[in-house]
Amino acid sequence: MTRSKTKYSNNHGSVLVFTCVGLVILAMLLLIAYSFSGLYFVHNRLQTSADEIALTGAKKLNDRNRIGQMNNMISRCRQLVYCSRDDYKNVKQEFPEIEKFADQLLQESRQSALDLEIERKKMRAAAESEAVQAMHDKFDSIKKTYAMTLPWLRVRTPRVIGVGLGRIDGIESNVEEFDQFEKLKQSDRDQGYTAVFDKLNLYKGNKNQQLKDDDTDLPFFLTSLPAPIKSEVSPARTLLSDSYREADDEPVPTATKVILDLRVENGAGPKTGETMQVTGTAMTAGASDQD
Amino acid sequence: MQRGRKRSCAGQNTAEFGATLVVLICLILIPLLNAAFIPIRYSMCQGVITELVTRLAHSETRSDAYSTLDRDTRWKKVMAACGAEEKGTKLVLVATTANGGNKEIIVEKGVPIPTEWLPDGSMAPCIYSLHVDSQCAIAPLLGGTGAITGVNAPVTLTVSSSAHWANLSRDPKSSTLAFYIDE
Repeated sequence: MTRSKTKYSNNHGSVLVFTCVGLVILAMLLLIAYSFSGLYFVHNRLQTSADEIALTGAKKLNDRNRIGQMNNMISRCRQLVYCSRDDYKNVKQEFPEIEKFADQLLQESRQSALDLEIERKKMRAAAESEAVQAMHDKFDSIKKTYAMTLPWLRVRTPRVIGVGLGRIDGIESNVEEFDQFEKLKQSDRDQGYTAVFDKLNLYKGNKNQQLKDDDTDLPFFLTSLPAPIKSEVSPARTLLSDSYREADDEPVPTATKVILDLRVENGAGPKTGETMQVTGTAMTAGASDQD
Repeated sequence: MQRGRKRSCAGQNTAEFGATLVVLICLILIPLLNAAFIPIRYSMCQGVITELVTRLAHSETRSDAYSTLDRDTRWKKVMAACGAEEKGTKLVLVATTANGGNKEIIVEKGVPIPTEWLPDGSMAPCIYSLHVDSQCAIAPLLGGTGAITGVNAPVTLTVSSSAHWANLSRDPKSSTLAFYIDE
């Protein structure tokens, strides 16, 4: 009788073991589910951080509308050179006695174009270094909040893999076409310098808008930047990374890109892990109204 | 007599144990295993929908977002690979007042945004986001053609996600200089 009782106990124990095994399997599945949702959460968070960093850098590029102001100055200087050249030609023909004076005005306007180009390059260098610095500062403030160890997930500290400054296609400059000089306006249209729309005609961006004939040596680089329309300034915004283009040599960059990576490992069991990589892209704010 | 009873009990236990095991595996473990995969697949679908709505919210215009949604089948294929079938997706724009009041308006496909809710309207500043509701038939791990929902037949769940609309500027190419968000 005693032996029989022992046997009963053993069999009940086996069912208990199987139930436990089942529960362990279920627990493991739940752990997998937690890990998946954890990975999903971490990936989204990393993407948000990358967007935030890119946006911080992008805002810095056109800080206080410096690109917009530079575009306006360049286009007005171009107009001044055109006008001075035109005056010089007229004076030479009609009033040769004051030709020297007209020439002096022309040379001054030409010199101002060259000076402005030097300033544009300085502004470009300043905008680039400030934007890169701002992105690194933002990253430094974010990265400390990442590292965490859970029983099923271990998240390391993210790293910056790359920082880029570039541009976005399909955006004109913020400078509206000038109506004062009909000849210049027509010449610009003929050379494809202006984008003509229904309500607004804008000079094209990321293009050297050289003058014709005697002033082709002067550079007039305009940067692509959303124009203010009805006093609405285009705010800085995040973009999809496939719309980003690397910066050319001359125009001031108006977009930023940052690539982050993050090592995520399992918290327990055999060591496995994955390095996730995300790209954040953003575009700077548009130009403000000129006045 | 005692010997016979012993053999009889042991045999009964073996038979009961086997049956219990079958019941445990077939009626409890496998259905639980099946059901346990539904939240995993749901979170995968959630990831796909979030990625989709983020991409749509970065479109140039709102009509671009709708045409991308209609044209793009890649995300549906990814969901199918995760064991979920898309049964219908609705995309709307949600505008919420940003300076208190918590007023909200939902703008459906093809409907222009009321003037007061535009970025320069009387309700400004507003937060604009695209919201996607996708009906997904999420199949359990084993046997997706049965009759018991969640055990051997797919469960239809609504997967929702939102993303902030990025492009809040006006379109210089437009004849009315309209906002990209309203085009």
